[in-house]
Amino acid sequence: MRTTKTWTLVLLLSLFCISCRADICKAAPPAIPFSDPNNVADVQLSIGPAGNIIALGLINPGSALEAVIYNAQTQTWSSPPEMLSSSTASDPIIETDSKGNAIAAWFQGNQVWASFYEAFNKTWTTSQQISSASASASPATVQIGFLGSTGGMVIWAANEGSYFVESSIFDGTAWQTCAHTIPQTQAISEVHLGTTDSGHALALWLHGSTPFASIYHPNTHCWGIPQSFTNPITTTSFFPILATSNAGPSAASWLTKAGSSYALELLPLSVPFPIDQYLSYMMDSFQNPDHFYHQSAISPNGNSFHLWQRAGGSGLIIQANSINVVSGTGSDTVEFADFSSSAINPQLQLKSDHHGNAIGAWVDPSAPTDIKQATYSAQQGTWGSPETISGNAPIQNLTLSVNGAGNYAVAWIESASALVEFDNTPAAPSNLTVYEITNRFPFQGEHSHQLNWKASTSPDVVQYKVYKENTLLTILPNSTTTFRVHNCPADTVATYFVYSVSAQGIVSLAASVTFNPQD
Amino acid sequence: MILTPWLCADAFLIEGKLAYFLPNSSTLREIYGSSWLNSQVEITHPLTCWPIPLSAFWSINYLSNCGESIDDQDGTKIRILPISGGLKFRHNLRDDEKLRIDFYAGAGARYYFIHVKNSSDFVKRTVNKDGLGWVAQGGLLFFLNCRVCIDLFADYSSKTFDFSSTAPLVTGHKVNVGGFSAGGGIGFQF
Repeated sequence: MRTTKTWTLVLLLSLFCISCRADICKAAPPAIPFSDPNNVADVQLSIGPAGNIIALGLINPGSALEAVIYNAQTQTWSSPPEMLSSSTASDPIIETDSKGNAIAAWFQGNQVWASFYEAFNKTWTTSQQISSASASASPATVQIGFLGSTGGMVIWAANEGSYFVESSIFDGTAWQTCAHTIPQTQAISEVHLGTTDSGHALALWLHGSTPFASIYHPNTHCWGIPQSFTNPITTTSFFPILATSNAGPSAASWLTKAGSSYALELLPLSVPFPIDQYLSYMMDSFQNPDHFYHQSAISPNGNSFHLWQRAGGSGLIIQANSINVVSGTGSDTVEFADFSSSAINPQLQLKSDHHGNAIGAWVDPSAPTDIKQATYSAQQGTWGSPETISGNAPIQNLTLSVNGAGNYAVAWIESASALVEFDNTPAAPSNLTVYEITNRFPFQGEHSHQLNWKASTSPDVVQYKVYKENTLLTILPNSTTTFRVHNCPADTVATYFVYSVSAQGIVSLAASVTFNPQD
Repeated sequence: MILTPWLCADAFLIEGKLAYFLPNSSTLREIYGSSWLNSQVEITHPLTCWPIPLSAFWSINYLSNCGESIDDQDGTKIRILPISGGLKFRHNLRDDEKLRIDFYAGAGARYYFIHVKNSSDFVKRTVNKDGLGWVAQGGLLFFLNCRVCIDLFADYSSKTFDFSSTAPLVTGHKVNVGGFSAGGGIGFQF
């Protein structure tokens, strides 16, 4: 009797698994537990260094702004949500620094408000207006950056009869709205901010159709004179994007036009940077796009990533590219999709980690209930094929965040609920370094490479895997954060990758380092 | 018998010597230190008294030292066995009832046998090499009686070995295994 029941159960389970499609069987992404999770108008998130996620939600009706925090260690969301604004908030954004602190900024009316989250005490500062009352700030121009030990910065475009970029710095105790750029005559749009651990900031914006940039100096607390750096051989520039890495190079990319030819160009920058030194890479060229939209990101090793949509007579094309702005090497442009539709869906996100990897996410223009997600692997040097996150209703307000270790979180609004999907891969090891040791015997010498790294911040890491290019060298227990590679050929460049492996066998993104005997 | 007119009255001299050895190679000094003991047995056989007093000499040395590799401090041991042969000029400085003192200077060929053992899995654990070099020496013989003498001497030797291709992924180096020795010995003449 018992045997019959068991076989019946096995048969039923088998039939169920055969009949269900993979996307149906896949568990639905969890809804972010805001106070009214079924009335969310907008969602933004940022993932911190330990995999903790801070999500902002605009709750209807009334547009209250709430924050909830996902603790990666306990795998729980904070409750109840923190109320940052009780009503009339709009255009929220959030960024996290390397310690897990965060700045949330948003609009109320035509003013910018902000609050600082201190990770150690798990507290938010009292929400405060940080823009000048006499000026009118422009929505969708607010940007956040962190200035090392100096604190964090928020910038935005403002209009007081003339046009300028205004900034406010949180120095650990209070907001200091202290500096703005020299006013300009035309409206400012497409504002971007890059910051460095040294306390410098680089702002890029479009003044009319010309990209301008200015540097904020921590010693003077002032923005420098804005300088334009349009390609001199073209007449018009569009859509400038600034990509910066806190401890590495920066790059600007934009679309230029010469006659009927358009080109997507990349300009490496350093902070302080020589704007007058024009050295660019052409990433793509094409004729007369009806629409264009792109995003850029950069890793501290100089890997810059670019993801764009362009639509013209042949339809919509989504492409990506990667160029290292230090070495000038890069991958060929890859084409993810070619749609007959010519409508651009500007829900396109691109972020990179500290190891030279990147993740791009976009809403599929031919299937607006699907999110496509593609990953660039620094180890492979290529973009992988896009994966699909299938929703049940049109995707809105797609937002993506990647931390330095490579953990990502993607959130979106679907039927007025904020859904989130994040990887449960362990955080990659950090601070991977390599140096050469020559062990000299009387008549022989042996070159070896010493690898050192900081342990993954994920608590469930049990192993590290060490690769030299594509060759597995060793598997080490989590208590070991060094490895010596013996018998290395002298004067040879070698790239190493270290992965964290969780108890479930899930492998992290790679931490990578290159030994170059010329360095 | 043909050589009889050219032979001196002096007979064979056999000596046992101990000396301080300082290698030429800074690498050897760094790995094994600057204090080496050079043990030597030498036989000197008179050849001619005229026009200059010349002797032939043959010697065998033994040097051994332990050290640590540069950087990783892995253990390593070296044994050097030089066999030498050459000519000596010998001149009497003093000869009275109390003391006889001879000065000598010479030069010759030195054939080296090298044996190194390294405690590392990443280089060749055992290295053997041999080759021909040269040696120059000088000293004073203090005869205590007609048979026994004390020898105070110094010598300089040189031989560079090239280990350029010892093993894959291991770099070989040129090393001079010669050096400067100074010490003393006791000799028996018969």
